This record gives sequence, C-alpha cells and structure tokens, in this order.
Amino acid sequence: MSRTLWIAASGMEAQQMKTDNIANNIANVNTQGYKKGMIRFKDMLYQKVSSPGAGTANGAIPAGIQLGTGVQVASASKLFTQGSLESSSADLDVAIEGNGFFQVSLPSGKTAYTRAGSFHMDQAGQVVTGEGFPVLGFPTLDTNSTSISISQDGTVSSFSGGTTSEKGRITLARFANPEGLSYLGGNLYEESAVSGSAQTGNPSTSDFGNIAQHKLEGSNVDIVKEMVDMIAAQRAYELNSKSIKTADDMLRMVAGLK
Amino acid sequence: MSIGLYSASGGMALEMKRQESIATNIASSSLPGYKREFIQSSEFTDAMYESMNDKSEVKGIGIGGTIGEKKVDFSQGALKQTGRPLDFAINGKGFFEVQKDDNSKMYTKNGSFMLAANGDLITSEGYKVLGDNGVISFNPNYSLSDLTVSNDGTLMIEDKTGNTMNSIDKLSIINVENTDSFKRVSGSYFTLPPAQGARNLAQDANPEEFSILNRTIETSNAAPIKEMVSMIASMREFEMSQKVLKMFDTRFRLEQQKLTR
Repeated sequence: MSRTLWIAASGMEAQQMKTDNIANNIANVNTQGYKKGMIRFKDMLYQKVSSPGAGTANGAIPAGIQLGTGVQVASASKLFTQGSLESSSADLDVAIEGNGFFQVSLPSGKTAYTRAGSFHMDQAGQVVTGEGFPVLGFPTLDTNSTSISISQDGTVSSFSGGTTSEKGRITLARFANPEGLSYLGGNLYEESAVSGSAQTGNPSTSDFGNIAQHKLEGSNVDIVKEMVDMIAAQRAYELNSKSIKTADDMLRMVAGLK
Repeated sequence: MSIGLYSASGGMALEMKRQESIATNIASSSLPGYKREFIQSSEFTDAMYESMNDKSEVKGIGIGGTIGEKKVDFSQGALKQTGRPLDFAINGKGFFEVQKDDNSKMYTKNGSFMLAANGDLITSEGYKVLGDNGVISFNPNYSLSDLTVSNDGTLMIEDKTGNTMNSIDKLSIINVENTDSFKRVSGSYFTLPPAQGARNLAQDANPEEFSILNRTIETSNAAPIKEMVSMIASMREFEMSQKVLKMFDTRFRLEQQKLTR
C-alpha cells in the first residue's frame, strides 16, 4: 500500500501533539510557577527501497533510494526560563530569581522540587505548600509571629511580641540538567537519571538565585510565541492532510484502471 | 505486450515514489535541520534521442520509468529561537559531527541536543556530539542556564563567583566543497565517504563561512509552496500516465475483439 499515507499520517500526528502542547501552555499562561512544555521531534528509521550501488537498466544508482517514514516525538520536556514576578502581600509568598528549586516532602517520603512559592504556616509553625506538603529547607517559625521577613539570601526573621528573631536560612536545590526532571503535576518535579542529582545550597551563593519575598513567579509562557506556533502547526497539519488526499486520489486512479 | 504499456506504468510508479518524497518533506516540517529531498529522474526524451542518433547501440528507452538519483536540497532553513540552552543552529555552511555507538561518524544540521545521564551531549536519537576534544561532556556541577556559546561554536559556562568563563569544548563543524558527497542515512543524518576533503571549519582562525547560534534551531527548508506545486505536478503526471495505460487497455481489447474472429 502507498507509503505516502503512513508518512503523512505520522506528520499529522506530530502536528496534533504540537497543538495539544500549545493548548496546554496557553491554558496555563496565568498559572504561577508553570514552566512551558516543549515537544521535540526526531526522524524515524529509513526504509531501504534499493541499496546504494544497486543496478537498473541505466546503470548503477550511486545513492540508492532510501525513503523516510515520517517523524516521531523525541521528548516532551519543560523549559526552565525565569517567569516574571508578580507582587503579593502574603509574607510566605516567595519567588526565586535565578537558579534553584524549593524542596518539598511528599507523603510517600520522596522529595519533590518546585518553583511555586506560595507557602503557608501550619499549627506547628512548619512551612507547608498549598496542598499541605512540608517544605524542606525552611526553618520552623513561631506560631505567634505577627510578621515574617525573608531577605534576598534566604535568611528568615520572624517578628513577634515586639522582638525580631532570626530563624534560619532557606536551602534550595539545583540540578545540572533541569530539563531532565520528571513532572509529577501540580508544579512538582522529581529527580531522574537524566536531570543529575539534586545539589543543595543557600540562595545568593554561587549557583543559586535570590529569594524575592512578597512575590510569586508567574508562568514563563509567551503567548505571542504560542499563537505563532499554533498557526504554523495548524498549517502543517493541513499540508499533511493534502499529502493524504493526493495519495488517496492516486490510489483511486490505480483502482480505476480496470 | 507493448513497451508503451510498461513505460506508462513505470511513469506511474515513479510519480508514486515522488509523492512519498514530497510527503516525507511535508511530514518532516517539525524536524530541526531537515533538508528536503527530491527525486531527479533521467529524461525519457534524452535517452530516446541518444539512441536515435547513435544507431550502433539502442539505449534502454526508459523501460519501467527510470528512477534516477535521489537528491538533497541543502539550502539554509529559517532560524527559530526556542530559548532552550541545548538548541544550536548553524547559520551558513557546515554540519555538526556526531558519533554512533560503533564509532562511525555522521553529520547533521539538527542541533537540538540533550544531555545524557553521564553528562555527554547527545542528539535526540542518542548519538554523541563531537567537539575538538572528542565527545562533548558537561560537568554536573555546572548549570545549563549559564551556558553561553560564541559564534565559532565555543561552549562556555559562566562562573558567577570568579566572573570567568569556563570553556567546555568547541563544536566540530565539518564541511566539504561538494555537498552532494553527503549521503543521507535518515531524515537528519548524513554520512561522508572517506577522502572527500572534509574540513573542520571551526578550526579556522576567523571562521567566516558559518556562525553558531544558541537557544535557536534551524527549521526545515521544505517550503510549502514548492512541495504543493511538486505534488500537483506529480499528481497530474500520474493522471496522464494512467490515461495512457487506459488507452492501451482499450486498444488491446479492441484488437482482441476485432482481430480474433
């Protein structure tokens, strides 16, 4: 059967996946801490129709005929560029300017990592995420503190009953290849073989960014880019469908020979 | 049976192959660095005139529709910024050099690389990217977001403490004078037969023939207009051959009816 059909079908599937990814990015353009998804493609194996050097009536074909069979998804990963910072009034709303992730302890015992810094204090003074997961690397706070101040280098001070006391310093984690982190959902990432092991340290030191209090990191989705990509994907999808239609017409002609 | 019947069917077969080539070009539009392919068939009329003028030898008159060489169009594709630290594009001549597991070398314009678990710079298919010092490898202590790349392909990591640039390696950019020497082995990858005069352009003192862009990829050079026009032309060729075939069929039927009585 005509290979054109399968080649074009793989092309359409690829554009479909692209469009799905774009739609997800657009849907999350206002999600705090969201990192835009990227889909990358690689080509599929070539099928040999005739080997290089094979002969025909006119002599040998030097290059042979090798026809491709389309494209497939190479990776679907996140792009970790800095999102813009949005102001907030809550004391425990923090953002990282630069490298680094907050460390979160999951109920399963594993450590997850996130850029979303919208934290709260529980009854024991421990800092937790919106879902209630304890944030590691954050000093425990006084439950009766009226205000908390966090400096750029992550030093946490709490003000209660007229006195300010330093509670400790935030610890962040960083990875050699953040793109390799596996996404767990809910802005949480997990270490994987490809991301490299988590290296912890304090903000404002050599490889880590600064802490910005009263700020939340917005999504890094650039809506203009997404719209342009969506237009390109749509037209590529259409072109691939024309390939299918042409193959179909040709096959119909072949069938109509007799 | 008439030779013309086989000529026409050969023409149809050729056009179907051409459609596959066009479909591959269209399907691969998302592949970074993809170079479009086209099938160049030898001319039927040329072969015919040759054998008419040179009566000593009757050249094969396109029996079965000559399928000539498959050619690759190496024109530059448009550059697209992605923001991804490991996306590279070559603006100008030259190819990235990559190595397979059996140590054979291949060449590609697809600069959308990844990091392997051991820090090696690899392509999406797993081939290792080569530089001046062999396989390019990143120290896990570095942060990829600090990667900067100069025009000649030197990879450097900015060191925040000492304000110095730690040079990692320099990308190998290989080129030959006659790009037709490159043989395609898969969508983005080519091999070079030995002794083609391959040169590493990156080792020139002042490389002028290319520049490396970071956080950018080279998109496919298959222009939709060209592919659509080729598709239409091929389709009509196909239709015409089909009409010729039908004519032969009618003729044989009539001959059979009228002459066998």
